[in-house]
Amino acid sequence: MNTTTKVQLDWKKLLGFNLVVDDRAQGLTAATLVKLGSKIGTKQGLKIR
Amino acid sequence: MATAETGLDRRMAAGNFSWDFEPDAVRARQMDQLMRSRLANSLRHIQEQAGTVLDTLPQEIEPFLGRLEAAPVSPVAFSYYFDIVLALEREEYAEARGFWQKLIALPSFSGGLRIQELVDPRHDEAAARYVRFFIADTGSDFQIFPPRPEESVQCRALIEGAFDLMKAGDPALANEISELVREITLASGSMDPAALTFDGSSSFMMWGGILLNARRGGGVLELVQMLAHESAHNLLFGMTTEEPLTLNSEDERYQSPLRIDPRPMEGIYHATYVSARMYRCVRRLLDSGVLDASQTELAEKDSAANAQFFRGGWKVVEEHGRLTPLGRGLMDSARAAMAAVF
Repeated sequence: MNTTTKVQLDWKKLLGFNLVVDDRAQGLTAATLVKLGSKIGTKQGLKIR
Repeated sequence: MATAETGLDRRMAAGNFSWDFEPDAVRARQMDQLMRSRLANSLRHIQEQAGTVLDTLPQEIEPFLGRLEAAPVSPVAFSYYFDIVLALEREEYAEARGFWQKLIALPSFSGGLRIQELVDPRHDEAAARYVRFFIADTGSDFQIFPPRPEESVQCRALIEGAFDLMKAGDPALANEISELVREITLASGSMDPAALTFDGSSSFMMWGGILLNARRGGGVLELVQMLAHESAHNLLFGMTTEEPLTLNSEDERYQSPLRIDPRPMEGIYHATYVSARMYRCVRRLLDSGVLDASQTELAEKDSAANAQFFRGGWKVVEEHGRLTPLGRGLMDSARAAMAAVF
């Protein structure tokens, strides 16, 4: 059982997370990955349409 | 001079860069400095709030923060930071502590552009980190492997050739890429012709790094376009430290000009903008006269395709995008640069 008080971070002071601060209630990880995540070029999309 | 520098510093501190579409190495260098400064300040805040659970004193992290603010760092530093925050949010403090210790032990990153080969992510923690962050926007349908030695040798030669070609025909782009991209990681995609594979990838969470498919085929001209493409993603990441490009919900999906799968608006915006950067660099190479006959033929074909990608993406962005002032300014700048293809 974890008895440590939860760390409180000010998300507006955190690089990247300041952009997704409103998404925390919806699941931060998913929102973060969409807005900050990777941009992948695919072969099918890019050259072999 | 002092006044101009103060003005620049103030604009830079606010993340308020020029929206000019043309490559700009000075802007890129300032952007990299800003990203590292923002990261250092974020880490100081984490130390203040979580130093106890992370088991470090402020003076113990200052050597790393000093290195971070003074010189480029590995893209991995940014990925550790994101992992730390997410682990703290989950109250996984031991995990956060592990990432924190690895982060503050990272050395400076000097010596210019680094090219490395991905090792097997199944057996190497660092390689698994690259894969996890570079393929983060998908359902993980992309398969990524270490490149074969012969693929790596060939790709390294193509990268060198691509920079030589850019220096000769589009030096502004070569200089900007040299400031934006610190590390290229070579990997390979699936050999299965039916599998979804990749050409390249960039991530805000791996600032300064790009992943390239060494098995992607093509020659120097294709690689120039790939570098223009991936570096433009990094340029947009650097622009968006304070404000996103779009306000659309991440649940919305639209047809992308560069991907076969429907994408969120932020991704389509990126794809559209980078298409314009690819078009621009090909036209510069054509106009500079540095291409041979076969390259010229390919360049004309690719130029037309890039223009088509931009027109298609721009239409989707204009119809469905809810752009921030930053997003509007950057896209209008790209649209003005692409006026000849409308």
